[in-house]
Amino acid sequence: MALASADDPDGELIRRVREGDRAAFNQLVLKYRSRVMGVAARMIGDRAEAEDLAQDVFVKVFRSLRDFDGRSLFSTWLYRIAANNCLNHRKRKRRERRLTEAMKVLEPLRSDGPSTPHALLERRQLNALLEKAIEALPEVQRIVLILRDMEGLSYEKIADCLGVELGTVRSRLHRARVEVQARIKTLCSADEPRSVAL
Amino acid sequence: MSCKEAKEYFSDYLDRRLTLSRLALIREHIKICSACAGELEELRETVALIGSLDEIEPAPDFLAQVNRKIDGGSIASRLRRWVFEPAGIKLPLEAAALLAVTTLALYVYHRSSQPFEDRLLLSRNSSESVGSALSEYALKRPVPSGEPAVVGKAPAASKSEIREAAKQVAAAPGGATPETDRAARRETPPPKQETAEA
Repeated sequence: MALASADDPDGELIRRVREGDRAAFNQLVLKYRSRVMGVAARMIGDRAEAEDLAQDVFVKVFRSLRDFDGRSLFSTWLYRIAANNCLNHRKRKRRERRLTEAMKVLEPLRSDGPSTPHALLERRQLNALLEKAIEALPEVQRIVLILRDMEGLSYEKIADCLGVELGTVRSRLHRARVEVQARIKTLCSADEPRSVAL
Repeated sequence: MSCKEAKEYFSDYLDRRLTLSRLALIREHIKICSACAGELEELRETVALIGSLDEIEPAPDFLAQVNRKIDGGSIASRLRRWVFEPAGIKLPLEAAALLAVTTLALYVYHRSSQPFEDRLLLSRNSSESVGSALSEYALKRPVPSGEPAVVGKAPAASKSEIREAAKQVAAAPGGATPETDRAARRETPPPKQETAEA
């Protein structure tokens, strides 16, 4: 059994969990539940499914903590499990949701009814636009965007989490950001040009 | 540097991942290109907005649910873990299948290790002894009044009586076992009910 890195801020908790300390595991769950939930919710879209998946991530962490080799930080390893679970879940659901996904991408927010420029400027609506734009991204780009711009992971950590090259992270992130930016512009201009200052 | 080339590095620029020489080129370009400068600013705002999206908090019973999944789980999942992760070691499907086949082969070999002729002889002796004992018992059994007499054959014995007789035979040296008893029942044809006129 490999030990967690001495630089890992969670090293002590991991050691205690490995010794059978359940309270230490609960501390890890409480510390990271929001982050895992955030990744899952934005990758999956459905809150209930995301919650279930986030719980499964921690169950997997608990059962496979002995496999954690300590070569990366615990948080990186956790994000890797979360990302893999999300991507696998998406693969399973892809066939079922193919039609729904296509409709979601095509469905502009115009269906919410007429909006005034003032209403569009409200933060809540802008967030909704953003969520829509992120949801419409290809999943390989979306996970990179979530890990970088929402979770604040470094390029190196993301590459480690996803098992891809640094250059791949860089290009996927760039494409994702540009895509989100373009989509927001399109969605906004569909209702009212120049309604959101970007 | 062209606009297209400059845009390719906007993400890296925002994440401060450019080499000094490339950084200088980008800065020089956006000084003279207002379109690219505007686009870079939009991208910066987009990234900031993504980062400021609300956190998605899990349900209050998240931790309890995780622990419930760890401790409980369905019977099927516990059985799966018991089969595939004995002693906490993950057993591959192929290894589990090999173990099952080996166990089955050993069982079959053990069962067939007794010579066939011996088993056949034992079966014959047993069926004869059971058959003769049952006939003898039936002949000795008094016929209750009101019950039609059976000509040539013993009156039908009750199940409990037959079971008792079988026990007596089994207790005797060379007696029948439950298996041979069943064989004997199969080989012995049921008595013909030929009732005589009183």
